[in-house]
Amino acid sequence: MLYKNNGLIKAFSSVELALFLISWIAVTSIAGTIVPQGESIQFYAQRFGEKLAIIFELLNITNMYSSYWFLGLLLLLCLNLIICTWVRLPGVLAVIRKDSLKSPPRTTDDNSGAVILSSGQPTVQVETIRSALSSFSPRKSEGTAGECLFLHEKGAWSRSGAYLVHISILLIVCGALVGKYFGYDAFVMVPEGSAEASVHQRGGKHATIPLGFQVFCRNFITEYYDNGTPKEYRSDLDILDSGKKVLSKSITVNDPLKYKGVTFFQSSYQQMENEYKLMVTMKKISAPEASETSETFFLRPSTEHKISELGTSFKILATSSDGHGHGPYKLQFDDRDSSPLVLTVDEREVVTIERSEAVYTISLAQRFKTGLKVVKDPGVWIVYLGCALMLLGLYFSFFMSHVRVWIVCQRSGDGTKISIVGATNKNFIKLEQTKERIAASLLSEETLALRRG
Amino acid sequence: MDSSVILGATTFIYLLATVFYVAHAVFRNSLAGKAGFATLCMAILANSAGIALRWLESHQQGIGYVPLSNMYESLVFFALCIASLSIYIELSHKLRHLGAYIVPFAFLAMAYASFSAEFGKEIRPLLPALQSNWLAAHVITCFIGYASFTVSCGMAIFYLIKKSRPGASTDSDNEEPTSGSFSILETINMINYQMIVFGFIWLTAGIITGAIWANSAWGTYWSWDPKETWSLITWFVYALALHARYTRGWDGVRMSVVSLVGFVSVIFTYYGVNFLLSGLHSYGG
Repeated sequence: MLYKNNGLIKAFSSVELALFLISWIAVTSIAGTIVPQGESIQFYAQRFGEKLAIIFELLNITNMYSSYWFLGLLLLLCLNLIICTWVRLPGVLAVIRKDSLKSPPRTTDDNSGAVILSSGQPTVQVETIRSALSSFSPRKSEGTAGECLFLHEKGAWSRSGAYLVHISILLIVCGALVGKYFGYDAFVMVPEGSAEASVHQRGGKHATIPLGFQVFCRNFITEYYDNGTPKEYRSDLDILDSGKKVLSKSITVNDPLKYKGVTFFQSSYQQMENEYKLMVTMKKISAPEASETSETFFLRPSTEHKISELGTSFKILATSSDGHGHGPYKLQFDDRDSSPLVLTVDEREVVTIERSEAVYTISLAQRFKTGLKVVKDPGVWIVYLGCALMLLGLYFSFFMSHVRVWIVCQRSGDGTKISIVGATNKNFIKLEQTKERIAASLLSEETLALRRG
Repeated sequence: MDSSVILGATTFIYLLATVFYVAHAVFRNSLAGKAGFATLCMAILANSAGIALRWLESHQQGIGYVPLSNMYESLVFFALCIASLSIYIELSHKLRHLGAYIVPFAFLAMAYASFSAEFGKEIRPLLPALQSNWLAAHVITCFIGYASFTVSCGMAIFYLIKKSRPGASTDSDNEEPTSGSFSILETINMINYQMIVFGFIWLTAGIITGAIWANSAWGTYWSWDPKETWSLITWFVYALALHARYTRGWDGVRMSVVSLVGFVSVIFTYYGVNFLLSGLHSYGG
């Protein structure tokens, strides 16, 4: 352990450095919350003036959380944590593993904290003491003639708490790095009724990443509450792998779809100019078995759309009366048996058309593209593991303490003296209580005939 | 009865409790102390009833949700957390006049919730991003943390006032009720530290639940959004306090000052980010 005396190692293992780095990270982080991140230089010049905008650009404050100086600070903190743990953890583990029975406190010292019990009986009934202490699960070591030593020990592992927290921070950083280098954060717009096989990486790279399968959007829906605020954004998605549908799920904002390590999040949506979605359900009356067919079609205004499976055709004649294009629509309907029909329907209004051979239920709506955030993050479980470890470490550090109580039985004159001596790393109140409880259970054992003092 | 009526009334009960506790602390009147305790218990009951009723009302309106979704509802819960901690501290340390430095915060939170015009108080259906079970977990953990830090700030103020008063270091402290063998200053100092520790653990849990939620709603557990960054800054401030205590023995006045700085950071995380900065986390307003 020669290295540990190295000046650089000492500096990097010091808590002073940690305090310094944490302060700096905290203080500099403020800048990025005040200055909006990732905007153009024109934006900053307009908002903060040209001089400040140039300073921001030079210091990378416009993208500060991914700037080299900020990442450098984080890296230094990680180094600090690693070296601090490396230097100190072995010592702590040694204390945890130490057999405290072999190193009892010297009772000859003026141990003012000791609880002393004494008895007139010259011989100690070791087994009686053991059974009196049974609820403290004592360990016993044989002393010299007429003496014995018991140890009650609890929470030795709690000494590792602070190191668990430090290691958990490193784990979280590792998880973040794994995500950054082995995962991606991408985006794709999928029009209703079509599929996408690749997604676009965000950030500076703008690369196109092939998915290896296709994501198909059957339907996108926005629902609103009565007061007009949005209630739900929902995309009905299918995953097509090698041309086959393998998965089907409706995703909403808090409920993404996962397939082959890739997660699709409902993120945004877009109206498709001049494109409409028509849902048709045909119910045949004349057929021997009442068959029902539902289909969704996409069409543009003023273009006749023939549907051979249904034997019908549709044509949007007008998309609105006031020009905003969201209904009431004028829709021309035609099938084999009658003359064309012109219907006036509202957006998403469900209309039934009864013809001699079949009943059609139709509804016409704006066509949308759904905006999906596509994330592959193999590091997220490492991050979560780190989070769990952090909570465990904090619990160890603050709610548990290493309590050791030695019960030393010695011959003293004609009688016996029992000293209850304790040690703890933090919770002294708990230590005193434990000592008192041990004393109380020894005193309550009548055959020992103990008294205080 | 309407939940907003109950919660409005709760504000005045907190005010009454504050008056009693302050009277007890100033005049050392034990009757005022008892009245303060009884009033505070009543306020907690009314506060809880108000939250429960609001929950029920949201269900009656067909949009049932846990009422922790906006600035108003979080302030109401914040007040409840502070008041509950005050009762806990009073019972565990048998020190009544500490309430004079804690209960006013509960009153202020509740009064701000009731009288501010900056945010709406009506029950509104949840936006898509908020429709998650993580909402309750995230808000509850965060606000228990914030409430602990608030109590620690109250203790810090008490400590600094007591310390700065002439003769504070003499034996005049002996006449005051203390818990166990500790002097009053030591006790305040201890509670301050305990609340920092308690708050730190809950804030950690709050940041973690927030990260997990963000990952399930937006696909990133951390995006350096102002709210996230400020919660991390707050976490760092208290982490600093804990390290300074363990390694450099920071205590007493220094710890109290750190506690005040931490509280400023908490308030900025909670309030400042919502109203002064813009970001993803804009539901509070």
